[in-house]
Amino acid sequence: MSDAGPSNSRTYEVVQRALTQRQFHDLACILDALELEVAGSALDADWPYVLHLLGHVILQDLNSARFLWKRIPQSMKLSNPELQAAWRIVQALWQHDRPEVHRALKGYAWTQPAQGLVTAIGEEFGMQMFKLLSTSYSSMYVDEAARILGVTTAETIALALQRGWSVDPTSKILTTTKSRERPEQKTDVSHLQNLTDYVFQLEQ
Amino acid sequence: MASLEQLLSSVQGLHDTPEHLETARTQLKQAEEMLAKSGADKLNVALSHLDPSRYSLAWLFLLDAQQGVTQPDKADAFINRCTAFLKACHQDQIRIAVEKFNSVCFKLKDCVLVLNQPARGVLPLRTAIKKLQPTSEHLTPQHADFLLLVVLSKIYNAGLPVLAEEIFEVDAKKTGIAPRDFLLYCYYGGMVYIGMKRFKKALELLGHAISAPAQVLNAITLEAYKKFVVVHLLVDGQLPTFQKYTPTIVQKLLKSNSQPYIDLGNAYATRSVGDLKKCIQTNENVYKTDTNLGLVKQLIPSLYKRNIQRLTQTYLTLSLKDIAEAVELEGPKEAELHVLRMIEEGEIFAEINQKDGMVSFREDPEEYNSVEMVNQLDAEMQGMIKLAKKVAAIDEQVSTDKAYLGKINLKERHSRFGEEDYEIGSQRMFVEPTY
Repeated sequence: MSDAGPSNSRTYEVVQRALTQRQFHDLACILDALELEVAGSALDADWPYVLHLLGHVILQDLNSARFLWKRIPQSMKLSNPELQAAWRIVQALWQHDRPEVHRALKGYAWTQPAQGLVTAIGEEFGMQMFKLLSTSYSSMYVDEAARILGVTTAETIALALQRGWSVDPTSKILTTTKSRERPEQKTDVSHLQNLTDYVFQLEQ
Repeated sequence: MASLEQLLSSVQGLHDTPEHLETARTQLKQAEEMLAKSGADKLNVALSHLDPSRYSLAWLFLLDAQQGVTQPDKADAFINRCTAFLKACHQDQIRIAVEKFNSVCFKLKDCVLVLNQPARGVLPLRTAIKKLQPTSEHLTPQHADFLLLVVLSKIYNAGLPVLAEEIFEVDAKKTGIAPRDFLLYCYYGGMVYIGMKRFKKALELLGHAISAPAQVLNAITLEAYKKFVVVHLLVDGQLPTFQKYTPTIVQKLLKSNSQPYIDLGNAYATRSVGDLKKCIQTNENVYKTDTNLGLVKQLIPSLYKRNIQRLTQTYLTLSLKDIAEAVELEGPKEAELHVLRMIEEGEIFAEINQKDGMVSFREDPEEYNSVEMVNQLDAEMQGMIKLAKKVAAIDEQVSTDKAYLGKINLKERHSRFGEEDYEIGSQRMFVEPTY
């Protein structure tokens, strides 16, 4: 009758499944739920803190990552270099220090389960930064763009040309062009029905 | 007096119909004194032979009869027993012994605090809320304790699903809830939202604690107000005004007891980061003692942002250098980072031109013609319609309430005698607690 929660092996089984199926976005939610179930039993040393932290990062939930860090025992923080490396990513994101995010992602030899997650975070972050540059800048220096994108200047130029931006080879300045996605504008009959309901409601 | 064995064998025959359960409850209640004297060991042996889902009522009485469970050497066992019980117990049985249920949950909270393991109580109390709630719209006494443990264990995101369920019912008969439980729910809930930086939601909850009916100022209300002022500055840039149904006495006392926070609002209103920093420095110890220093310090970046936002209302284009000067930033580079961050977060619409070091401010590109926007509008309309129905139902309920009609009568009679009496009558009506 007394149920001390799932064993460590079950924790790893569920986590492993999410990782092999590349469901990185579910990871934080799974680990959050498991953490509550095992709360209090002596599991601290075995808990996959690195994956838990990175799981919050990929969801861009920096608040949850920050509170998780506060829950981690001090001894763990000091003795686990991979955990420190994961925390550096959170710190850089928190401070909006974009070049530092790339350095933190690439600056550590991640072990296997974490590596896949870090790569995915890097890819998503890179895309996000490209989008940010194209919406926020009308013109910018190639080397600044490269720092924010986390790639070399040559790669930046190639990327820019691919998107139809122009590059001035002497001044090394990129000029962006806006590629506005047209929002989906289809309407269907149900909207009309809703509208009738609202008018009916207002007239009551 | 019957022995424990006799009591249990009698109670075990009474668990299937409401009438049987009522009889069982009476028997258990009569035996309370005997149970309290039975000693933990004997009670625990009895519990181990009793199925918690079939005999939840008896479990509840036996759990609550155990003495001294919050002592450090006994707390661990008690927590485990409660956790298993809450998971298994039958809701129909615990709802007829609300007082016992609340008492057991309260002791569980005390136990995890004694052992300094708040995380252990989070899931059990979440289960307790679900079991006691007649509907998800009911507030229970466990809400506040659950949120307290969430804050103490720093598992803030675990609080969000519970807070997301909107509360409309505060029913003391069905849940045994007291005004203090409501205030604490608002206060700790506000803290969870602040931690997760969902400031608008935090304002909602803290606001309820402030406007709650009261005849004296509660310490919880005062602490909620201090946080409310700072969060209001973060969200709106101004000091808050009181909702008109806030008790007058509460308004008066809140204002006179939170001067350092009012000062903060005045400093913020000068739009000068220097003045704001000076004010924070002057009152630093106050904010620290109130454990609000971290929150207060978030006002500084917020003022930079607000000042930049203000520029967008006046200028179409502006150089990064001018922006830096206008908002007291160090230089163009820092201004660029601030602007970039605000564009990223959708707080302004602008384009930076690095070649000339200029920023062009734009209009919001949203054209309100996408499917996504229609869906959002739909969801909000549905929410409003649901709320309107609720308000109509409550209005109907109040207008047929005897106590209310009695007071209205009294008020009318007073108004015939003179304006002064009328004032007192009407104020009274709003000041008295309604739950």
